[in-house]
Amino acid sequence: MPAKEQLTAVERDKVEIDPNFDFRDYVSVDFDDIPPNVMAMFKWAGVYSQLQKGFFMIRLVTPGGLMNTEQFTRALELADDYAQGELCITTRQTLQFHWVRLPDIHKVIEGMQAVGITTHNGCGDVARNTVTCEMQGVCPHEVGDDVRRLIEAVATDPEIQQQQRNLPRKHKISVAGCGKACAQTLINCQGWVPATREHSDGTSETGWRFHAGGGLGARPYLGKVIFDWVPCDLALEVARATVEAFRRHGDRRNRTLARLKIVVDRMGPAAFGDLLLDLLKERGIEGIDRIETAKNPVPYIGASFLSGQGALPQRQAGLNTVRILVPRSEIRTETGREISRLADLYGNGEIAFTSRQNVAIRHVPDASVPLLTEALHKAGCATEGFERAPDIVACVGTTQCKMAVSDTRQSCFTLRDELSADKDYWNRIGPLRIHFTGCPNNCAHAWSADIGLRGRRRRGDTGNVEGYSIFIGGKLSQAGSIAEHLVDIDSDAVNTTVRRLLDLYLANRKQDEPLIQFVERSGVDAIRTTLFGSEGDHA
Amino acid sequence: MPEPRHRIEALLDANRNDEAIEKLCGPHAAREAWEFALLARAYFQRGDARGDFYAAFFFTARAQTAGCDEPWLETLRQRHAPASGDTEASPRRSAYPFDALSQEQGRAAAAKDFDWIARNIPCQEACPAHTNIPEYLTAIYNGEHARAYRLNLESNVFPGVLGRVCARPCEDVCRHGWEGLGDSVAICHSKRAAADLKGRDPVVLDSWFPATGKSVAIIGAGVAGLTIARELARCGHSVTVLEKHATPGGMLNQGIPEFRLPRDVIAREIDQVRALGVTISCGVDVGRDITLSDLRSEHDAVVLAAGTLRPNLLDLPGKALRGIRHGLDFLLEVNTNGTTTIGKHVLVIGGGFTAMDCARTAKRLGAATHSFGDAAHSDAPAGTVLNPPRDHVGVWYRRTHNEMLTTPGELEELGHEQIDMEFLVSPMRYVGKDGTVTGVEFVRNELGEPDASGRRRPMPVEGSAFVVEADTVLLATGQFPDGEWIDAALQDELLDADRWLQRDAEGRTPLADVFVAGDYADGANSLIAAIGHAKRVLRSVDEFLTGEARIEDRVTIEDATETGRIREMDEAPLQEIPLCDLKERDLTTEVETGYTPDLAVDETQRCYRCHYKYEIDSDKCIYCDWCIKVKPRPECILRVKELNYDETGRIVGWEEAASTDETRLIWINQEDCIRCGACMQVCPVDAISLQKVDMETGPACGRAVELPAP
Repeated sequence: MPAKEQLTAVERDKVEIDPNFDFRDYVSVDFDDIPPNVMAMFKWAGVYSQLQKGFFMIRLVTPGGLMNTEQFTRALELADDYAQGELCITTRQTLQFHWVRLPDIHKVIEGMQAVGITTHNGCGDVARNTVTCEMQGVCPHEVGDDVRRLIEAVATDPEIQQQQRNLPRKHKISVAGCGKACAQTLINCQGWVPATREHSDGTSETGWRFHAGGGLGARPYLGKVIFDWVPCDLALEVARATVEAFRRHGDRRNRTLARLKIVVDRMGPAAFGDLLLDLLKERGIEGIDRIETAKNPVPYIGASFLSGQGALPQRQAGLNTVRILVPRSEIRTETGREISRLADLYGNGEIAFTSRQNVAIRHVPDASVPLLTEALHKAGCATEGFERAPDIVACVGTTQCKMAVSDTRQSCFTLRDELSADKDYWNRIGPLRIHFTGCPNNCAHAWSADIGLRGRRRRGDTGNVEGYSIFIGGKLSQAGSIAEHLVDIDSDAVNTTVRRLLDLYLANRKQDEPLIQFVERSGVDAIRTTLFGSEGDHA
Repeated sequence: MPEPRHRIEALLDANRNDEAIEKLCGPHAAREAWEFALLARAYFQRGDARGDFYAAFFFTARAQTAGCDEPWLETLRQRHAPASGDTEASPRRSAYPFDALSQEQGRAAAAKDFDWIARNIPCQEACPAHTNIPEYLTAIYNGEHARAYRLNLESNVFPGVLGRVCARPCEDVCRHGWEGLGDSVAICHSKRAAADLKGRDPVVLDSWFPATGKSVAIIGAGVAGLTIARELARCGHSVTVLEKHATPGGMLNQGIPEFRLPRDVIAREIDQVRALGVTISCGVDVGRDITLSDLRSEHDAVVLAAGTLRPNLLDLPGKALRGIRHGLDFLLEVNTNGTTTIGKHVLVIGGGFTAMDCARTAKRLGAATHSFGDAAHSDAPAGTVLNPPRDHVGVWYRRTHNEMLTTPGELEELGHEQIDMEFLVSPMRYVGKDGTVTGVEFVRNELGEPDASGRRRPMPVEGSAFVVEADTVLLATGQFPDGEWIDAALQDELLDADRWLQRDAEGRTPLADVFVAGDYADGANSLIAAIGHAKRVLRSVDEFLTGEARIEDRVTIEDATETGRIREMDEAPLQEIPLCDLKERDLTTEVETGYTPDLAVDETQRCYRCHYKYEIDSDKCIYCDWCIKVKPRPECILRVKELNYDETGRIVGWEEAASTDETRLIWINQEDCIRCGACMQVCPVDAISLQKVDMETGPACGRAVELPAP
């Protein structure tokens, strides 16, 4: 009979190699003596080998992107000692250490464990750090009181976090505080959005609208509505069932097709919803008749209310969240220590990491906002330009990542320097999300940006030339949209090309029409033709 | 202990950068300004790996921040100065030419297309009839036996026959059999499965052209004669085949024993040739019953496909002794009459197909000996290889088994049937008594340098002569074309000094209307070689008759999304052909019983399907190397600095890139590719295309003529 499908090498490793590493065992081990497949399993402990041989990246798990200053200070101390004095903020609202040597891995992990932060499930085929909106817990728009509870429940659930550690691929969960786009609902495997139901007896009940099947990577998909409403007491059960559905139905043969987004796409949202209900029944969960399946799978997410504010009034009267713009996510420890000090001095010591790789200090009294802002400026921190041209999201690119093909760090700084310098220009442009991602894995979300630049190299007359594919028109609100390919350019043409695009937009937009609407109205083909002449010349 | 600074500097002075990095990072994370500075220098000096320049830049900044003011650090930092970003976007470079073939889709016929087939589908190239082996193996895997049979029939005329007795040059070169990749696919046995499992209805191919009014006589109804007969009939010519023997088939009937090739298989496939309108007249001895001149006057063309009937008898002392005969003559008699007289001590001299058949036939005629007629087999039927064991049969060959020209698996069967083989021995003379042979004197050989055939030449060892007892000697020492039947008046024109036909590679002779095909042209060779030759000669004959080149080869290229295989199929084991039990082995019972449908699937799944082509569109490729990370072979995907072309546009080599920046193409080296598809699976930008590339033969474009309904 025809040969049967066996476990792939990666899947075999996932079964055979225990991911619960004690990195003290590796203190005296030579880097070259670690088998590559074992090293690959380090990811389950949040540890990746870095592009520079012998060094590692360690990623923390901070559900909802929150830390207190004790935890943050510990991270800074460890970065000083073992990570060359630098931390990076990820688009999943957590921190990364780079340049960590093999004998120091356990010191970083244990150092953070001592302040209640884990690296468990930081990477690997597991449920990753749960994300939310950066104002979660303090946002005036937040619906109900269950948001933090669900984040914690998902992040600490033994089934999701401990038992389900052999998923077909990574699994990403977002829990939003309201129906707006701040929590990036549509590009997560699971997207939870608060929703209220009016009951026939006149009472109302807050629950959740449940989305599934979003994800970027090389093949982008936007989440679909699976359930219009899930009561709060069943949300964790649905989250568990979704993880289990993924475990059972994810394509383990081909890692590029393994994500939940492919399961949902192949199955269809309605059938996926039925599958979840069957799983809930199978598990003996009661009350599932209260779950309302989606009448229409097309999502409807409101626009993000984050639009340039440096300080945001909190739902807690008289308190504010003050945001700090972090250039390309890199926090030097000396800056970090000052942020930590100021968070204690002016806030309540709570620090939030944002999906745009920035930092926010919370619970700052109204009167302290100017003082804090001034202190931040003194420390060299910018507090304006959020969701504007200077607020560029970028991955590490070829500086430290094995997958990247372009130096996104350098391109990001080059473009940022140019655009930031002209405040009048970027103020005229208004909301603008530019993202640089170094490879098709899209860690920096180029697909969902207004302008997304994805690293690529192009054949040259000799050798090849580093550059980018530029995509425009991505959005995370309403039903969402995936950015469309505009043009391929070499790295040395990034500034000119982006500027030409922005100039075109400024010259042709209708009143306050944001870039995404301009793109939708004009069409990418027309924009390309206007900018570069006959279609395809640059494509 | 941390290494002193001066020692690390000495390492850097000696350009021993890896060691310096290790020393700097070994004891603890670098934290001093001088450590940062030296790390920056080490990474900068190495500069041969991705990430080195950033690391140099990073540690330069660290060093400067920490207070190190070495001037060279600033120089180093400037090296990493960001590009301005102010260049205008440059237009797309010239489109990637998809170099492997002359075009991306449809029918192609450039030299490079055929060259691609030749270099990428080794089985098809090795097959003299250029059978589309991957496609028919795929059809068998899919259970489409009739389709698989028809594909074979198109190319090699006798699928059922060849599925049993082909010399299998395809299997020698099968990619699956390459070093480190396992065993070749059992192509031949699979072919037979299609013939066995397709059902018994005759399969008659379509004609290519309507009747031309031309007539052709073909002398000899062996595989070459019948092949060219069929193809000429498809071309619309009237064809008559004249056969000396009582039945058509040539070597199939007269040489190959029935236990290897059942007669009904031959008859069915010859009937399929007849069904196209070919007339086969047996018992007609050209030269005696009718002359070549007569045929020339009655027909527009004559094809000589008379095979090799002139035996090569060893010119040794004692050659006239009774008991010495040529093996073909022996086989002809047994195959015609079902038996012949044979002694108890049979010596077969030779190392080819005929030697094997002679030995196995002799064994079945009762010359068997040795000890395997034990009690366990005492119930074996009379006339099988097990009963009764009387005496000795053995094959004596002057080289080793490596140089033998036999059907794969046949040597093993000789072993199973307990037929002795003696290698590196040459006969010197026959020994006899009262006019009858009683033995053969041999001398032992050692192998010298290769001869004209490429096989190592046997060299006699002095003083090693010895005599072996024998009462029957069968000479399987080759045979030649016989030209004596040709009209004396034509012999001068057609034969050269050593009595071989004067001919060119396309079968043309000095007489414009006389052609020669198969073994009669070039001497004894395999059946499939004769078929391949006849197909080439067909074009000469047709062009002579019509004045046009109406038949052409062409390559069809079509997009595909998958090959239909999974990687686990590569690990599936080779399926042995089932055999009948030794006690059933007589003169007529077929030894190989053939694959069951399940076995046919088991085996054909192994074919890599080399007729698929993976190619990277360099305009889409982003040089991410993901394909290189998953490649299964060292050279199947390469970072290429430059491809080398010949004057016809064929890729004839490449220069590997030494660095990422030097890489102009990430290139699939299709000749090393095992068609696993892993690259296409991981490619994040869908830059890798898959196409199926087939070669077919038929009426030249624009030449196909609508035929009247049958």
